[in-house]
Amino acid sequence: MINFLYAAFMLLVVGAIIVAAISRHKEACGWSALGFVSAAAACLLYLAAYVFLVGKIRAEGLLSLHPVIGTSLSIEIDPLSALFLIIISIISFCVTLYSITYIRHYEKESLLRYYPWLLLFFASIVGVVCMTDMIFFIIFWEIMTLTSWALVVYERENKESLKAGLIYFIVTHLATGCLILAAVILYSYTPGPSFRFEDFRAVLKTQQIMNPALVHGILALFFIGFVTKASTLPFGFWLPLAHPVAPSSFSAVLSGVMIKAGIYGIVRLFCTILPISGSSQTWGVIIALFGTFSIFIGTMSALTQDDSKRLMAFHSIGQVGYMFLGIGAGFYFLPVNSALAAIALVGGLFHMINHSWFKSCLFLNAGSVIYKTGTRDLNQIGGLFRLMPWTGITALIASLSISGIPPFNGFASKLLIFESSIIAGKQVGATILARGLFVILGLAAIFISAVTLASFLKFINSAFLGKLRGVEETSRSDVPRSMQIPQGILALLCVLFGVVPLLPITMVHKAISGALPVGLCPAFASLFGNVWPGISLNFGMGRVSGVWDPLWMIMAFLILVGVVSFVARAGGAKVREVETWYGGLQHLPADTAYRGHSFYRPFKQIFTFHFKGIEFRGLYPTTFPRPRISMPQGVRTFLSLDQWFYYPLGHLFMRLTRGLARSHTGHPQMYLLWIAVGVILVITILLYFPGG
Amino acid sequence: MSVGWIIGVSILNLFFALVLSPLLEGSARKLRAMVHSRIGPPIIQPYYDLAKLLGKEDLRSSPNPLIRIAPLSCLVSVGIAALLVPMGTFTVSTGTFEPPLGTYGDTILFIYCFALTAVGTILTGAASENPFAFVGASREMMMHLTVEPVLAIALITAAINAGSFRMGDMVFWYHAHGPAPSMILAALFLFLALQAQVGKLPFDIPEAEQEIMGGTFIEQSGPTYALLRWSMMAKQIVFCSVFCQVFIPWPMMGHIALDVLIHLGKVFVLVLILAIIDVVNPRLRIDQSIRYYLCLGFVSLSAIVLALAGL
Amino acid sequence: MLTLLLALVLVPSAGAFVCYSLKGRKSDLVPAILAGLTFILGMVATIRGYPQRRELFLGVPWIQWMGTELETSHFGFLIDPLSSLMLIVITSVGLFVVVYSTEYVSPRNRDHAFEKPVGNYYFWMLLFIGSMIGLVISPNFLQLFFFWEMTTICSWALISYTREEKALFGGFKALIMTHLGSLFFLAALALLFVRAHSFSFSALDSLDPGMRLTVFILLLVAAWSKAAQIPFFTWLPDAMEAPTPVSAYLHAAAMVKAGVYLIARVAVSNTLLPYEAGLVLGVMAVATMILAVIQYFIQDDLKRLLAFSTIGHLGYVLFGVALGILGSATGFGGGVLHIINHGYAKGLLFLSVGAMAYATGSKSIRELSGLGRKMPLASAAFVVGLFAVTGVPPLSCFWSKIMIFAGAFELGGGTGFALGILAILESLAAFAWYLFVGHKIIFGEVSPKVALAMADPPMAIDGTLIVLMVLCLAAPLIGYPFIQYLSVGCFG
Repeated sequence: MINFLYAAFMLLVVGAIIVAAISRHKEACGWSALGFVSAAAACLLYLAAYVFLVGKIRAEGLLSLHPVIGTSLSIEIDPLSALFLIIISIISFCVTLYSITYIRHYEKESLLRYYPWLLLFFASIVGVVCMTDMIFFIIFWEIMTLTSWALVVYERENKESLKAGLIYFIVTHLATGCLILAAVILYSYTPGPSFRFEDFRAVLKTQQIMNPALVHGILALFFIGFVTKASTLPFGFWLPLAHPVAPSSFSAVLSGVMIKAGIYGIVRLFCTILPISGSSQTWGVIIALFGTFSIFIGTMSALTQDDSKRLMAFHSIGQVGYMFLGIGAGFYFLPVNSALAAIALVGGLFHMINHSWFKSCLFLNAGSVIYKTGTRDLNQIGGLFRLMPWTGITALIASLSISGIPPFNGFASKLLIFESSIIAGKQVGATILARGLFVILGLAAIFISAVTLASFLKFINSAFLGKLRGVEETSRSDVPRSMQIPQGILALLCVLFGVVPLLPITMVHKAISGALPVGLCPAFASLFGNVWPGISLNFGMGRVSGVWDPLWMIMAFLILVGVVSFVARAGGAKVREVETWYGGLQHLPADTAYRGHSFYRPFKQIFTFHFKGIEFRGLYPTTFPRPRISMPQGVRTFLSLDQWFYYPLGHLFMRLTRGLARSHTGHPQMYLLWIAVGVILVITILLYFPGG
Repeated sequence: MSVGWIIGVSILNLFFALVLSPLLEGSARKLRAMVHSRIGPPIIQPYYDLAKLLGKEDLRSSPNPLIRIAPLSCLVSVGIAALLVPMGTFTVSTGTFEPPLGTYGDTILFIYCFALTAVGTILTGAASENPFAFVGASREMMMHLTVEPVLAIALITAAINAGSFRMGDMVFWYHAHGPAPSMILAALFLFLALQAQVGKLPFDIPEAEQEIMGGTFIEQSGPTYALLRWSMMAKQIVFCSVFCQVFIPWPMMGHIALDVLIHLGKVFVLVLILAIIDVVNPRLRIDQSIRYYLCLGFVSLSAIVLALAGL
Repeated sequence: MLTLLLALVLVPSAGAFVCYSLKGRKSDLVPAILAGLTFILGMVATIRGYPQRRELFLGVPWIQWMGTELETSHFGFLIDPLSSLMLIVITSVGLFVVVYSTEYVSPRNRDHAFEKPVGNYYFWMLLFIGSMIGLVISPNFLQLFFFWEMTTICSWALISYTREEKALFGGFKALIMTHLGSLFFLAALALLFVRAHSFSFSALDSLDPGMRLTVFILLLVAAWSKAAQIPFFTWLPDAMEAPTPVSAYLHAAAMVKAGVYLIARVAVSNTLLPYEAGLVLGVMAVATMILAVIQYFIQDDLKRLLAFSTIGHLGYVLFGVALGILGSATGFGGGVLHIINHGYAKGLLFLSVGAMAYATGSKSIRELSGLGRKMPLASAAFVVGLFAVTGVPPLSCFWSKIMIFAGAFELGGGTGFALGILAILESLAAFAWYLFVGHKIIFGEVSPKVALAMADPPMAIDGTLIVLMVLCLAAPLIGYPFIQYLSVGCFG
């Protein structure tokens, strides 16, 4: 069964080499890349299904470097990894299909720098989620960073891309440095020594009692490493720079797959590597706090953006905050009330899956808009629904999903997160401070959900609704089929996961109970009720505290729609087309267009201010301080050893020899005198000292 | 909860929300006229208005299908919200105050149904391609943004006290426990938010007739306009019902017809109060309104604090 | 086996004399053939000598007059995993550099047009290859010292090859500083002869502890001067006046590695080295690393930047060896593996910079920009080299660096942790700066100097770059079998 993993990996690597070879034939290159990715995705989906239905897969000691260094290639695919494999396979398929025609937008750039890196990226992230040995985890992690950097700087001559790529790679490399440091510190404590996750667990178990400060230090290093990749503020400042400049198909992968690797790291660390105890509680609060900070600042800043992809990048930061809120709450309450914790964790991870679907769909939509109009600026485009109805519909579905509007998938996962963090206020075993904190965090999350809605309605209204602007054609010509289908697939997944949330919740629950130590996670039925097809949440407080049954609600909705439409049509009104009314005056649409930056001006102004020379728009700084590297003159002189040591020494030597050379006067008489003096000196010494 | 009960109570709730709401709106208009020293229209005038509109020409300013769909979703989402609110029905068998669809959706869904309504209004405006409609849409969103937290905080205070998000449990708890400081505060804040929720002065900024010519409704006519006006009226009933049931659940007699009548009476009185406030106030600007509600949001956290403390 | 090893030393050395007077087409072809032959002989010797340690002696004793019939003062050869590893690096990089030079050291070079005849250049180059090979397969200190001095002379000659004033001064400075270190080596030899009556590598074990430490420190100073560590590092940046293939070979892959080889050999052969020895070695190595990385940020010339990088990486190797002396087998393995990893990676970097200089005539970071468009292969080589050298997996130096870090932390205690953290910080700072420089010269708009450049250089240069890029990935695989045996042999 593990052969499917190898097959998928080999398909991607070999595929990368082959598409690199045929990169000059653009069409063939795209289709063959799609072939390889589909085959690999199929293998991964099959593997994931097996893991969910049967059990986890292990393969150990494949490439052992003992005894030189205590590491060996060990693979373990448990339901948590399988969850990520599902996300990777579907997103990779959609994005590769989309790229076939989207990449035509970049006429000047070569495909050699696109497809091979894309396929290697997928291979590396498959590696990341399957490893159970830290060195190989870090290796795949860095390869993931390397390949994504190559794609971020795809537009080689664009200054913005280069700056973004440089900052991105350096910041994530620093984060990897933290991971390496934490790994080698743990390594030094293992008896083996070994880099395996199980051995790390044993070390942490003993060190938690003996040296808690060390454990917290290690956890802080891991935290920084993973959270930078998952782009939580303030470590994730690279994301709004890097995601907009990458090709849109890859932005979808970055937001939909790569930042999830950071979340995978955190969940794996706190579930599998760290034994549950007081330290996981402390870090649970820290994770939740950072998460809410991201939610707030990220989404507020997104409200002020007029660049479609930058808007979505900030929302990625915000939505990751939601995931961390759920996960942090989960870890905090795990020792106190495992039911509440389990639901919070399920909420966080479910939101992660949902986010992959709707955010990737949104980035693909933005890409379609760019393909059609050539610009990312929302102020210059409008009314594209006429030209691209399919894109418009999928964008609307994805926007409503991300805002958490029922019955889409965002609502289901946000419901779990909100309810678990708010009901935590009632939790008996926790301190009043913690209870209050989680309630406040939950309320902030609810508020920001509305802000998300505002921001995406701005996107939809500016780009798709209104009068047609920014593009010349008037006939309906949507983007090519191969770009429409991936958007459709992802939107369909949003709808499906929203209407039947029971299936993904079951999968996520299985993933969590597999990752946590045995017996810690309550059974599915006790948490989510047996009422098919809906969920009824039981937070371990003796009653059902929340319910959500999308199918019945949709049925009620449809019945009402029927009734109301009947009433509306009962009047027998006739339809007539008219011109838009501008209040009695004649105006050109271009003059009166309501542009993107006009939306929510009073609200934005409340959150815009100046502080120490930096302008904060939507609570986010618009300029960053540039690091100035300069060396004081004293240090420079000290470092050039030549100047103050060697050259003076050399000069001294030369002066000495010149001084000695003066004793060669050229007069034979002087030399005879020297000889005579010398002979007398030698004889004196020989006579004077015994033993001559 | 049997299917028959669910269907019966649903019909009752929808009757109140859809069929009875124009009557209450008419009463409000009558009261307004009395304050203005006029005679005013008859109480059933809104029925005449709706019937007239349903027969008028449907003018389309854009081929966008959203123009038809969005107003529909507005009214339907208010209807769904109505099904999530108990309106005086008390089940003898289970002793709860569950709304008809209470086993399928809870308070969070209730809050989001109104987000869906806002979405409907905004998309209606945006799809009509009129810049005035865009202005109205932007204002509608900002109002929703700032008012929704207050609604959420008030309902969540009740949820924390009751330990459950289901509206029936919240009503049951409050009915059993008697007045509590946190709930009284939450009721106060919700009352201050009601005005904006139902779209009455001083907070009817998104559809400011004089300023932006109706805002999102500018291009609407005929049946779609009827649906939109109807959803405004229905919203009033639903919000007032929530306020009355969750925050003033007394007296409860145990007899269905009596309870329903008492509930209707409370809602009626509340509607009249809202109408009086509407009559005597001017319209606020959008930035004033945002500031007001953001501050109110912060202050309303005190209700949560009290709830956490157990009061 | 003996004849094979003898041929291995003689073929390049004698071949040097053959090449001296060649002219015309042959002057490029014959050295390449000789280098290739050396490479093949070297590979055969490595494979046949794996994995045991073998010492072979010619029957001619040659220091009879010293008064003792010491077996170890005979001329002979030693082949074991450590010397095999060095042999692989020396012969392979030697071959690549000679092939590269056939195109680079020619009048077509835009950076500095070398006039024919170039027999002189190949003479010194092949002589250097021969003496370096002799150095690594020497069975005792005395023979090693002989070849050590030979490499010093070859280095002087090659640095001053262009006869310009700066080059002459650079060569002279290198000669003086490395020769100063050799004096310390001589002192150590004298002490060994007097106290231990033996020049064998394991002679330090038979000394008493105080003398052992002294001899070690003397050898260490010699190694520091050769490997451009503190306080002798100033000659290497000035030696960059040499033609680029010379810099790539002598001052990155081979000659400076002689210094670290010496210390590694001492560590492998002596089991009783004191704790202080390891501590001094380790602390000075890390100090050198930090000093080198600080100097990165003020360089404008690409070759000077690479020179400081070499200084830092030699510090890594010595740090690994120090960890070995202090008790960590992983660290030692990492240090020795870094010799081959860094050799290929830094060789690749130097040769790609050479290709850029060949085509554009400039090595200045300020003047170059947008090379990715004009010279895709050289740019790709530079990028691969920079990732390889800074330790981005799965490229070569990641493996050796991670082994060194693991070894440092494995030792535990304050020193291990502190040194390890400093090493990690150095790695991160170096990566940041390298990436910044890489971005600056490869991406962006095409600068005027680059616009006038010729397209990708001919196959001799390109081919070498391609092979080295592959080796940057494959180097750990090549080095690992030898490391395995090294670790097990000494510490297992």
